[in-house]
Amino acid sequence: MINRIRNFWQSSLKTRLMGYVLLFTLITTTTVPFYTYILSRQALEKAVVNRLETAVQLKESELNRWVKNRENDITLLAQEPTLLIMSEVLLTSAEIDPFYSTSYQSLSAYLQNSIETSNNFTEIFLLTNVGGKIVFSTSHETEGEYHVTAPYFTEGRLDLYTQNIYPSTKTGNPTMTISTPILDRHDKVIGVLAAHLNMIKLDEIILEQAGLGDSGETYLVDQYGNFVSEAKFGKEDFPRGVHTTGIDTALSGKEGNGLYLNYENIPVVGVYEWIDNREVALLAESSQEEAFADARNLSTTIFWTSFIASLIASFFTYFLTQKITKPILAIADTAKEIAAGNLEKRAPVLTKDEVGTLAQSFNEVTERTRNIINTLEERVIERTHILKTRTSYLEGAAEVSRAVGSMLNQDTLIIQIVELIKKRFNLYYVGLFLANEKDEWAILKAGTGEAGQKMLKRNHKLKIGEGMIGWCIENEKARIALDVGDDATRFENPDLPKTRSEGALPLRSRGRVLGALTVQSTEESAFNKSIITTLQTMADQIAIALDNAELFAQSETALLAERKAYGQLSQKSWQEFTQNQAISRFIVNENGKVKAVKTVDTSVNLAQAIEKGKLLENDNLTVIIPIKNRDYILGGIKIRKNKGAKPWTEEELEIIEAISEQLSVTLESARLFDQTQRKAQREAVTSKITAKIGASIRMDAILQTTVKELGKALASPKVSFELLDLSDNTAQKSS
Amino acid sequence: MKKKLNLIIILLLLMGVYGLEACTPATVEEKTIKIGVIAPITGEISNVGQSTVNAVELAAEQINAEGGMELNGVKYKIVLIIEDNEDNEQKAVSVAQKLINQEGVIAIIGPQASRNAIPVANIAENAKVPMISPWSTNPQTTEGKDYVFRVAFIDSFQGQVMARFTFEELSGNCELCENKVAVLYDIASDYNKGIADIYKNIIENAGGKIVAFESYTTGETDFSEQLQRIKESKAGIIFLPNYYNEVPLQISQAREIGIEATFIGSDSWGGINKNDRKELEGSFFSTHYAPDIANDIAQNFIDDYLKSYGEIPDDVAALTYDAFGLLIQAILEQEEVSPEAIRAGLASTESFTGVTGTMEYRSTGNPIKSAVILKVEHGEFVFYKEAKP
Repeated sequence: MINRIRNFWQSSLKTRLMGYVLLFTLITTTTVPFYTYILSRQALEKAVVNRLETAVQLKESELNRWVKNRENDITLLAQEPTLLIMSEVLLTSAEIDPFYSTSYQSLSAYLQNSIETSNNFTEIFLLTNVGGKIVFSTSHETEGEYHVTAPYFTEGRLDLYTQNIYPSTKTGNPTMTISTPILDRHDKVIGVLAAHLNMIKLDEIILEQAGLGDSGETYLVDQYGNFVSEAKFGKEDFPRGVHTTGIDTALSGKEGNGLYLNYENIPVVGVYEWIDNREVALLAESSQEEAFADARNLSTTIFWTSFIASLIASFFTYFLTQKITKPILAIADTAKEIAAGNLEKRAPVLTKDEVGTLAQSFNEVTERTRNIINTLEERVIERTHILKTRTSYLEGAAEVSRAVGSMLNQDTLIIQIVELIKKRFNLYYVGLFLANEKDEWAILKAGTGEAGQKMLKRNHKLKIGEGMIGWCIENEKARIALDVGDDATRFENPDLPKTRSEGALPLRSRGRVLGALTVQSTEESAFNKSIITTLQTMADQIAIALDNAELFAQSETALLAERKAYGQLSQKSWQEFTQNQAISRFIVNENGKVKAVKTVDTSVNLAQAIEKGKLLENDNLTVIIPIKNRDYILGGIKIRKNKGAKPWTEEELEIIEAISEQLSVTLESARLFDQTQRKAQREAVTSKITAKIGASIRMDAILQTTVKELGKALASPKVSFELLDLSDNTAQKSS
Repeated sequence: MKKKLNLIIILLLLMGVYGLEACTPATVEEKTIKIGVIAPITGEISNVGQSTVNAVELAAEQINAEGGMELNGVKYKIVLIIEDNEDNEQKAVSVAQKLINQEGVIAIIGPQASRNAIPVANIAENAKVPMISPWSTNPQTTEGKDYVFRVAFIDSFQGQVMARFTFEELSGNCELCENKVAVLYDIASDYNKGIADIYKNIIENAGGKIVAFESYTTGETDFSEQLQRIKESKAGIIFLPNYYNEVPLQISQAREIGIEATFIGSDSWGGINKNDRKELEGSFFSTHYAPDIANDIAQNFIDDYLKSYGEIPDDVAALTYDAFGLLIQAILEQEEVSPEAIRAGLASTESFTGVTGTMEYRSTGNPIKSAVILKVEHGEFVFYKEAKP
């Protein structure tokens, strides 16, 4: 979920912009009213506290004044002569005294009246000096009670005494009592006049609102945490007293102010103090709701104002966001399309600001990219073309090389080469020059097309060292003229007017230059370095092939001569052999007997047999097969089938021919063996004579031994040896 | 990294705006039961106050020594908050309010004297805080109250016991007195006045005659006028239901003017110091227990008390100890620590056996229990007889 939100957040610029604006608007709309509230609250609190403090001071002085007035009341009352007279009777006389009753009646009437008119006391009573017995009270039911330990009695006997707010022993309710001694004519204390203060009256003073607003109130709490005002706060609700921050702090004797919950758990602003001389806590409180209403209203107003303002702002933000993001999004969309491959797409330049600049720059970048891509494509095409050309050149070169490799005849080779190159490389013209023996001229040996024929006819030749061909042969290097006009060394050829570029390739083989190839194209710059390298490789192959063809031709000639020589030698030997041979013919009859015949069979038409290779006579039964050693006829085999037999089949004839060949070979071997044997004999004789000669050191002896041994060896009756005097043309003869 | 930083800044801003609620660490508080004690530690009857303090401290110590009182597996320590009422009703009311409103006690033991107990009972009743007065015998203390209980018998019973004793034991032996009974009492003190009135009523109802019914007010030290009238009434038996601090003075003043009557008294005599008992020789008074005939519980208490304070506990101490025991029993029965539960526990208690014997509560705050009559012999309070209800 979070990831999804994050993805959404991060994926949309508009959302983010809106989001941030709304976030900060939110912060502003909450922060400003909040701080306004806090600040105005503080100010208001101060003001309210001031007001409450004033109220507290006012109430305190009112309380003190009221108590003081009541003290005066009691003091005055205690000095009232009529009261004193009546009191003295009640305090000192027994009940049975006749004056007692009347005094009681009068006092009762007097004090009752006094209570009712002032309304400041609930009970005025008279206590005996001994035992603190109430002898008279405006509340008659308490008469007869003893309050011997009550402070208002013990202290009241001594002087005017105000017993500060204390819990009543009867009800526990806060009570306040003022007492004063009653003196007789001799200033002797005879009793105590005491009065319980009317706490309702006190309530009226304290609870009376003093400009503290609707919720403002002031109240008293006694030292044990009881509300002094019984009228307002029923004891039932607070059986264990009342505890609030204000009350507890005040009861601990401190004064101050603060924000806290009051006895009803309502948040209030309170001011509290401990009135020591009355032993009571005085509190003034005003509800925070009322006190801070202005602050709240202000912040609420601010909140709504800023809320509406932010709504409007959001509305404008939305349009602003639209406006800002539109060109950016347009760029983004364009970028997407471009990424998808549409390089022609251009981002719209909608503004003149940074975004506009961005769009412009973006377009420039795109354009540059597009150009780069286009250039790259062109270059690829170019390169591909080059590669293709090169490949085709390589293929062509390979084909030419293959073709020339299989040719041994130089003349056909040369013609075929030029044609093949022209065709294969789609050239305008290809010519092949070979250097003459003296390396002076490069003679055109083959040329393509009519121009070639023309030039061959007029025996076209170029001087080595001149022109492109001449230069290339001399320097053994290829040469290119991309635009033929540029090359000064090129020989302008009227037969080849369409030539636009030309290459001259030396034909190098085994360290020498045989000649050169000229390749010409109608295209300008048809040749480059790599093509020339390819062609040169091909040219090298051609040169080798040419060289090989030449070598082959040479070796063929040599072989022929050798064969001729060997054949003549063999023929001569055979003639000598056959002349020396006594028996020349062997016949085998039906019985299988072989008979050597010295006569020559003239019937055999050998000449005919030689001419035909074999001769089958008319009867189809006689066949003559010549025995040949190379071209020389050694003899023949004549085979005649018996009469009535089947005529010779081809198969049989082939067998005979094969035998004839074998025979020829065997005969040749036998003859060679014979010849060799004789040669060996001669060698043996020679070495024997040589050895004998070697043994002599005298000239005479040597010569004598030589002739002697020679004679022995050659079985010749006469051997002579002569030393010739070349000056007189005579030789020294030895025998 | 940069994003995280943004987030932190925003968070800080928001925190700055709305602030952080300050956390207050929870403090582990020991479980306690706060019991208020109101006693006259100073003032006229400070002996009573001292015995009260001794007894509650002993009782609380005995419980706390075992780690506290166990309720539902939780140990509660007893915390005593002792306030001095100075034997002054005004003061008693004030300290009662202090205990209830400011100390937040769940129950109050005391006050002892009825004159203090009666006003405080009103306060406790209003505040709905259970109160047990150990020693107050005046019926007004518990009258019409749901939250106020006592351990002592009430004055009507005590008055009855003494009236009966007057008839049964004394009248016969006193030919001179001719059933003439006199009473001297503190009219300003609830206890004294209450018991005196009851005694008078019973005697008179039974055909007896009160020849002198003299009163004085608290703090008076010269009783010569009253005693003179008593002497003139020729009473053979003089009932002094007064506090221990006044009785020796009254008797000695009586003897001074030649009164030879037998003095009888009430449980308030229990605190009379040994040194002051010379004039009391042969007198009788009713009280709550007699240490010399103690049961096992009482004996244990006497031993512990003796060990702790070096003296035999008086009736105030015994009753206070029992009041404490009664309170603990009520809490244990209710298995709950609250004023209301304690009230319910006390109200439903049928009987409780303590140092001062077995008390039976019949849906009232007043126990029905025996009284004992002690005689002063050689300066000692000696068990004379038991008076059953």
